Amino acid sequence: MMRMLTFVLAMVLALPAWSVEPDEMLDDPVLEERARDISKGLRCLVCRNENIDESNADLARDLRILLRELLLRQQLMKMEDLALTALEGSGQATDRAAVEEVLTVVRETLSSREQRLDYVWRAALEGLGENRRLAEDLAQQANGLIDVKAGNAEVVGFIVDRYGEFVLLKPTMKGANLILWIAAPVMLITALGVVFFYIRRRASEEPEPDLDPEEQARLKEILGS
Amino acid sequence: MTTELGHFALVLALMVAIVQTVMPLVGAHRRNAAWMNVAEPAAVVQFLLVGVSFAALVWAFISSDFSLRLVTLNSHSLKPLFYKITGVWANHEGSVLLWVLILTAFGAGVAVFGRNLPPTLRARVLGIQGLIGVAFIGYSLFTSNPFLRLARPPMDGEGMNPLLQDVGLALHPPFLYLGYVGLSVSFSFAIAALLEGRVDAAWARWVRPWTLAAWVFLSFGIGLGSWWAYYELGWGGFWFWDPVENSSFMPWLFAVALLHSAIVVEKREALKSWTILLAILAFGFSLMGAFLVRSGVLTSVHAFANDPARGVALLLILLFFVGGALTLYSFRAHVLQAKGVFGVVSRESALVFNNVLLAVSALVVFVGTMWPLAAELFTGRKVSVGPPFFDAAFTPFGLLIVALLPIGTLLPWKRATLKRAIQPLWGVLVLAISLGALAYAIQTGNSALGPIGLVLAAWLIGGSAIDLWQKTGRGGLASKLGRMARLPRADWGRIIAHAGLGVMIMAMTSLMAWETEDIRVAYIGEPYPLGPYEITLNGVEQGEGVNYFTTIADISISRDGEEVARLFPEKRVYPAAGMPTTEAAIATNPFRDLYVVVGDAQDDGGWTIRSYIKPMANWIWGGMIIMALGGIISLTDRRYRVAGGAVRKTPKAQGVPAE
Repeated sequence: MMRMLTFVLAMVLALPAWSVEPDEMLDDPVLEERARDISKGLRCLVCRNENIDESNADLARDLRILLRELLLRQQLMKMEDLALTALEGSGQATDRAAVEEVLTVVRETLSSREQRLDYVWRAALEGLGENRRLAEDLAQQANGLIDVKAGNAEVVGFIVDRYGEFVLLKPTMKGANLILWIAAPVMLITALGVVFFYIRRRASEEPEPDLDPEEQARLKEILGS
Repeated sequence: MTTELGHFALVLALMVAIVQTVMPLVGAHRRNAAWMNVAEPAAVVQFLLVGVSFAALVWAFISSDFSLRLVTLNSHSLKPLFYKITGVWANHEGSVLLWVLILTAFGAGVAVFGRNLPPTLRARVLGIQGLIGVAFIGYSLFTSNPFLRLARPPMDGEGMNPLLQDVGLALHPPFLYLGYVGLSVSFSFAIAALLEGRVDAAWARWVRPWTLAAWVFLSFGIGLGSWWAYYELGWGGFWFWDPVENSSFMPWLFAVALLHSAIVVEKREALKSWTILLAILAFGFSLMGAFLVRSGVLTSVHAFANDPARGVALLLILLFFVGGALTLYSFRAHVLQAKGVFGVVSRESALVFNNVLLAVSALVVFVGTMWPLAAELFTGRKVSVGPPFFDAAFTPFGLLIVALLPIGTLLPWKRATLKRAIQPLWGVLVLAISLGALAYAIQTGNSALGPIGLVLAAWLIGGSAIDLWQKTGRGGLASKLGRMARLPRADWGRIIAHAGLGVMIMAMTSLMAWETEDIRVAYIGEPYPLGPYEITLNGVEQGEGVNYFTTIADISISRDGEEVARLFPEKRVYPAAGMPTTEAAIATNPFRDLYVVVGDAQDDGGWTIRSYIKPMANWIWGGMIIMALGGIISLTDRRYRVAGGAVRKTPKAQGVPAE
């Protein structure tokens, strides 16, 4: 009985999630790759020097999910723009209806208050029926239009606003942090300068006399020759 | 009873260490031979006493003596014997005692193997070694005493952190300490030389093997730690730029710099005061590492403030030795006169550049490691400095060192012409670049990392081959092979170590650039692809080990319908510590590792499985071993053995006959 109890206890204790879990991952490979990339630069705040991509902590999982939600939002907002532009340029009536339907679904997803936006969007896509292709095309177009660097910076900025710059594994170059960043080049240049003058001096100096007789005798002794 | 004996032996060792410090140092100052001669027996006795003390602690762990506080906190009667023993140093107090044991072992080593040193130098080296002993034995006794008893011994112990219950990690600290503490010998030699006011080729020749040995141990220690992280932490990383890792990496870099600058002192009698400074810094950073790791100051300033006694004591030891050494250095360094003159282009200059790059890169690691602390103390900002920073800041140094290395090894001493030295390397350069271009063309994706790594690796390995070729003269193949066999071991050591670095760079960059990863929910009996392989989850079982429960997955990996590996990754829970660990299953061959980790059960009956193809993974440690092997081979060089033997055979050397 006792043994059984320990075993059950052991299984319960084993619950913490192990770094990125399949259920967290986004269906869109482009977004997911961006998410992985960003999460390698964010610190798990309760761990010792671990990024959220590798960490098993619950907080890291929350951050991974938040980060993906932000990325998805970015994509959906871009899709909204795209759909609106498509509607302005008057297309054929059938197309119009399809775009309008996708637009509605995108807007519904964006305004959803559910915890997991990616689940909402997955369900919405499945509900779209034959217009799903159109939505997926739009998503791809949106990925092509989003400036990855600026987009990632926006997502990271949001997380930094919330959790502080402690979350960044690569410190900013702002303020005192500049010292950290210029330390390497400054030290290298200083050292090279010193070395340059040292070598110049050594090269121009007269060679000193070799060992004195006493030293020579001792050296012979040591070398055993 | 044995515990008290051990405790008493440690107190006695402290007394002996005090004697070993005072008498030889005073004796050397007053040229009193009798006082100086105390050093040798004192060093040996100190080692024996600490040995007794350490053995007593080991016995307490083996016999599960839970009346000892340390054993109760860190051991458990159900633990396998091997881990009971390694548990001795898997905690603060025990590891300090291990540190002391190794320190005194090195001291005894110097005493026994250093019989041919000039008497005053030997007395001073051992005296300084004794002083370090006083500091650390005192530290052990007064702040981290492992021999404290409990008034009410419990029935059983609290167990050990299960992550530490592993062969790789069990052996990691001893090797690391052998490296850290080995550098204390170089330090003692440096201080003794400053006291003597004399550094010459002979000094460099005595100090170099100790540094080399320490460096070899440190390399093994770091390698073991990185290997452990690779298979234990569950995603197959090998280096994390963690402050604790950095603490071992900085002395390693300084030790490498010291090894190279000591060559210049030995061969050319230049760079003397710089070499002394490096010896001080190398051990200084070892102490710094001990302070950073042991005080907990890096995890958080507050953790440090909660239990400041240990941290402050270590900080005082650090400040005393480094501050004292640097003060002495500033007063005495001018006495050391450089003799060798060399041109701007020469091997001396190349080694100076090597030193600049290594030392500055170590300082960059230092600044990065300390920055979060400094920023919080001075600006109140809480910042993190993680792998992305170190990758960006350290890599340029690595690139420069590797790019210049083969050229440096071919430059002659004193004066050289660059054009002539580079001549034999053109072929290697062309080969390396075409190899990189080929890799760039056939790889998927646009990463420059992999191809650049290959170029550097080929440049290093090819450069080492050219180095070997050049060393064997101009004759035909037969004469070259003959010379190769007679080549000094130090040359072999250099060539092998440099090639090992190439192997390591190749492996690290290949792994980082060309890894394949798959994370998914797998279902029993449903195969899925991973690169050219097909992975099938055959089943998952629950089991029970000596002191843990486990979930074992049974996974087949096949390629073109043929099974290439059957793997059993585990997920363990140690009830004593209530902590889960992953045991990745790895199928290794020379070209890649297949790395599989089992995760949690899903509601729909599937299991989370992470699988990776890690190209060249094993060569990371293979390269490290090759590098360390180079060090060992160099250590067996004739010139280190001859000196001792020659003197013993001819006590008063006048016209020594040729051997």
